[in-house]
Amino acid sequence: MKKVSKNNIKRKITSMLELPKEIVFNLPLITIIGSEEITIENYKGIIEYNLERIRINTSCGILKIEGKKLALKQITSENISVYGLISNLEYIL
Amino acid sequence: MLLDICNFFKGYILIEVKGFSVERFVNLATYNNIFLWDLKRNNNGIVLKVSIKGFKLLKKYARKTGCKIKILNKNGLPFKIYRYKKRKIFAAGIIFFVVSLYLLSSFIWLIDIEGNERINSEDLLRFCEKQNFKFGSFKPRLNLKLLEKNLLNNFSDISWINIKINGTRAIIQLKETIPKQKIIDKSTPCNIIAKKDGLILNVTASSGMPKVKPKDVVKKGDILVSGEVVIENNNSEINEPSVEYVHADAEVKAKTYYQINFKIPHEYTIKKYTSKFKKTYTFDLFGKKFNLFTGIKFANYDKISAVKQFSLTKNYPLPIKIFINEYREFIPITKKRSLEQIKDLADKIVTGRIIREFDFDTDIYDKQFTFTNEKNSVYVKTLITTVERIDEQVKLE
Repeated sequence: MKKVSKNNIKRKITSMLELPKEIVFNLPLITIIGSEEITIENYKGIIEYNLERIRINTSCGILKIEGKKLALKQITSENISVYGLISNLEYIL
Repeated sequence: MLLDICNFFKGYILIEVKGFSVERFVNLATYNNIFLWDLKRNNNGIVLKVSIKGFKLLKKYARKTGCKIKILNKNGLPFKIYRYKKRKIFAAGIIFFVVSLYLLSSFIWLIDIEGNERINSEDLLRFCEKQNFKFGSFKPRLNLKLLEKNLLNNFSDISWINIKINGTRAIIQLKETIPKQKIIDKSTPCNIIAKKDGLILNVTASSGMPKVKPKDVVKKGDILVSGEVVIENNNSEINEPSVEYVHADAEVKAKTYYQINFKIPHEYTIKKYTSKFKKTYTFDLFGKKFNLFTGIKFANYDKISAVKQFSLTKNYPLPIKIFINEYREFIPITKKRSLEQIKDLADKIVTGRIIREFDFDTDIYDKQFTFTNEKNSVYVKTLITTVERIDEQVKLE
């Protein structure tokens, strides 16, 4: 109960001050360029990778990317960029 | 693109990772700040690229996650260098090339002179050579300011000079002075005398007393117009004439005669070229000549020479020259001249000599040829009548 209220206050302050949410709440920032490239910042790890499906663990659940000829362009500890024909993007909570 | 170039210089390894959970391996590697790129799944594993430094760390994580790493390819500059490390002569060759290029470009291999009209280029070059500025001079040792100063002092006709060095080419740019006008001093009294024998045609005196009139025959040295002007006094009291000395000035034209004598042989040869010819090449390296092909077997030949100097660019001529000599064989054929031909040739020779030897404002009045047959040739005697100025000013004492 206490945690929820604390979170609420935090949310209100960030929206009031227009602070970037992904930093304050440690959320992933996902950038999609057309249907060919996705960059995910602030991710936690890869769960599954093959040519048709990639599952990436983030702080707000597992992100599932489906498509064709998926490749990982580059991986660092902060961000990951996926390249290929992307058809589906889904959060599995 | 830019990243690719960067990676090429750093060097990278293409590896294939196989195992039960490749994803775990990737997570572990990235978590430990190893940069991986271009990951692609193939049928039994993941193909990825990793830097040399990262690859050494990867082995540990592969063992931990039970994956197998197989190197597919090594790419980049560090591997290339490693491969060529053992080729010492190759490396020495590269260094030799750079050093020799640098050394050769620090000499002067060509000197150009611009802007001289009256001064002979060869005189300039000879003077420069005495001052140690010549073909093959070492550039850092040159003192151009001093050389410019010496050139200015030595050649009075140079009003401005600049020596520019472009690569291995030196350009001497200069401006010549305006030629000095002859100053006529009208105050000194003088006579006008004949400088040649001749028959006077007309006398136009602007000052002085003319001593000759048309149709007079004068000899060399005769006074034509005197600077001594006698003024007769009509005054009865003083009967003596007074004498005044002036600067005589006149244009005296006279007929003069010249003789040109020469022989024309009866026979002459013409060259009939055969289609045979031979080219020889001579290399000139640092002033030393190397003959490549020798041995001309033709009895009679014409030699046509050409020189070619190699250069890197326009401003970097190299000390390598090629002399191309072309030898053309011909057969001499002897022919006999007819009288008409001899006359034509004589006229041609005389006209040529007149153009070369006579003054520009001399008029040719008449040409008379006399032909005398001799043993093998014809003796031609030419009498030329010309109309020209024969006046010459001489100071009066």
